[in-house]
Amino acid sequence: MIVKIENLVKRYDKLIALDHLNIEINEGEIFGLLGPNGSGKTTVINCLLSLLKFDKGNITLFGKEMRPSSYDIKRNIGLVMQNVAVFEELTVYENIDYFCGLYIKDKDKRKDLVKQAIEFVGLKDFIKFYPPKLSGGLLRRLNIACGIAHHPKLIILDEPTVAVDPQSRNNILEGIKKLNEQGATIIYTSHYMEEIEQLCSRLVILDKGKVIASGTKEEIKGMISLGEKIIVETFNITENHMDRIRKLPNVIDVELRENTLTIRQKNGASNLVNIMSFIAENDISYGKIYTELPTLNDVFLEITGKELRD
Amino acid sequence: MQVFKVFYKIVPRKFLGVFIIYILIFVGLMSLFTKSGMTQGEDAFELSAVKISVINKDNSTLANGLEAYINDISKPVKIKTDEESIRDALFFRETEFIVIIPEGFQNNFTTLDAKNIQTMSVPDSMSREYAKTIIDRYLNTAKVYISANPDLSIESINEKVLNDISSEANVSFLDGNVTNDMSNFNTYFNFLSYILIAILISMVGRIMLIFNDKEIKMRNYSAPISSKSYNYQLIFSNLLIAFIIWFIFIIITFVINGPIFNQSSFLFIINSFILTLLSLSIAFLVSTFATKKSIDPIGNCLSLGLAFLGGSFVPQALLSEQLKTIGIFNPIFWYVKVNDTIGNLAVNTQATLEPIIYGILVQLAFAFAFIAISLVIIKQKRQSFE
Repeated sequence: MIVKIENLVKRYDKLIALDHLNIEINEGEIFGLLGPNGSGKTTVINCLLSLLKFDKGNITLFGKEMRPSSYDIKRNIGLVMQNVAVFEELTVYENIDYFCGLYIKDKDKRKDLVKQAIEFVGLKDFIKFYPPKLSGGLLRRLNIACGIAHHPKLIILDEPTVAVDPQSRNNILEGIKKLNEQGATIIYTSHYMEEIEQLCSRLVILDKGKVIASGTKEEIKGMISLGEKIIVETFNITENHMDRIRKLPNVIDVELRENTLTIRQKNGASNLVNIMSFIAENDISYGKIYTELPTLNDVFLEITGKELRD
Repeated sequence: MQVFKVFYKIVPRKFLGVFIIYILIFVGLMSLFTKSGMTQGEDAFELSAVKISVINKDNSTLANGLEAYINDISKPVKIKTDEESIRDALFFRETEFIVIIPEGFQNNFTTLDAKNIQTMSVPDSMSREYAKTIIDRYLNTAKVYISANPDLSIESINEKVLNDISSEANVSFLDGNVTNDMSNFNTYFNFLSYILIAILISMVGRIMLIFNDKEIKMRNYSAPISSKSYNYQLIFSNLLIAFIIWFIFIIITFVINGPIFNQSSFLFIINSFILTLLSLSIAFLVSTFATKKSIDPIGNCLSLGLAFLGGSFVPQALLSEQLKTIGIFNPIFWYVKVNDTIGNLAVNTQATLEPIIYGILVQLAFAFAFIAISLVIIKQKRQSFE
């Protein structure tokens, strides 16, 4: 086990930011911290790195208790923060070299590592550029390069894709997968459930400083009653129709938003057939009908009664 | 020493241009001041020559003697003697002062109804008083001779009077160190207070803002580098850059004023070094609360405000009593006061050095106070983050 957080409590005056948090992260996994803004994700990271004092609990990294002076532990950690943290006055190369130099003293080794990091994030053509001259996506890549250049065993990425265009986001996510394949354990925080679903093998969902669900994606999705969603694009459905759909087998809930009818159902072999038969019998006109498996957002919605991005 | 190295990578890229501009402006102004003699503690005396026209209607020995004396120590201007020409000459400032010696001047000189010398001058002219003094000096001395020895001939009286009033006295200042060079030093070092605060706030303040950036700090603190080492490297870098800047200005002092090495110049240098530490503490304090946008306006206000109120540009003697009272709370006031004391230093005894040491200690106390306030602000910020 690489990370063990036990009963972590962090208070800001009367506000409890982390409420008896327990997390365990195994070597080699991509672990997700999912939660809406203000749920305590960044506070967990700051406590993990001893950047913040906490009120109660224990944090163990690589089998040792983490303290502000645990430099041997810090040597194995790479941090990529939510906001880009680089010197505007240094070039791309110099920035990576500086942050790598905080971990690696040997000049030749550092030179190699910086070169590798530059190639890894695809900034080879921009090494002499100053950060203000880089686009948002390139800047994020530089931010990542500064955090991973020293080849850490544990990489913490705190919402690294905020305000990034889709293409750069895909590049970043692919890069994270590669880092994991190279042996790094990843802690990835995000409020984008799609990213967590795409990347993480295990995750916890945080809300108001509490873990409300943890496990693999499948385990978490299995915690809720929702089996699938059937979505129908319809134009002449009435309240009466909706009441009758609610009485069909396995239907949990029916919701109409503009012309989209969402039917949330428990697992069942003939859910779609039942709905299609009802539509045909009642002469309801429709455009598209499709099904969706539950997402982490559905898990969050069912547990907390609100959406992740509320 | 990663932090130290980065510090010195950033400094030339970001501040070299600004630094050179400051240096050029400073050197330009100081050279101008030195060449034009616009120093604060003027100790050289030069007789000013007023444009005077003498219309001698008496043409006697005494009148001629007076005319010769006036012409000797003024700029004599010949004008026509008709009334209109006299008025024109004054109006067009061809002459500043006109002396009309009336007929019978010598004959009536000792009598009670002595005909007075008529004078005309440009309105509100400062030179009028000076010219009157010259004339009075001649006539009064002549009267003294006549009353003391009525038998003396007018010729010999004239000779004796001219001999008396043309004699010059050599004045030596008791404080022998006060030379024009020291006065230049005094002006230079007083002016330095403005430029040092402005440069250090601009450079150190802004570079500290870069290193105090929350994200950069967090990234540094999450690395295996202790906060002590990080802060020590920053402090050392700041001290070194301040020292380099100070040293450059000391070299410039000797370039502008010449290589004068004596006890006073040594004291000026010591005081300026204390000022450097003080300015550094001010820059450090400013960096704790200023932002990237506000640091320049704050720097300008502080450097100009402290320098003006402290007497860097205007001699402290000319400051109002209120400003002098407020000045006690202005560290630059103490710096300038020490400079002025050094500038007027005659002999170096414990008694004369006491006010200098006291002023230096006050400056150091200010520096410590500023650093203490900065540390409190940093601690407050840290606590609010935690």
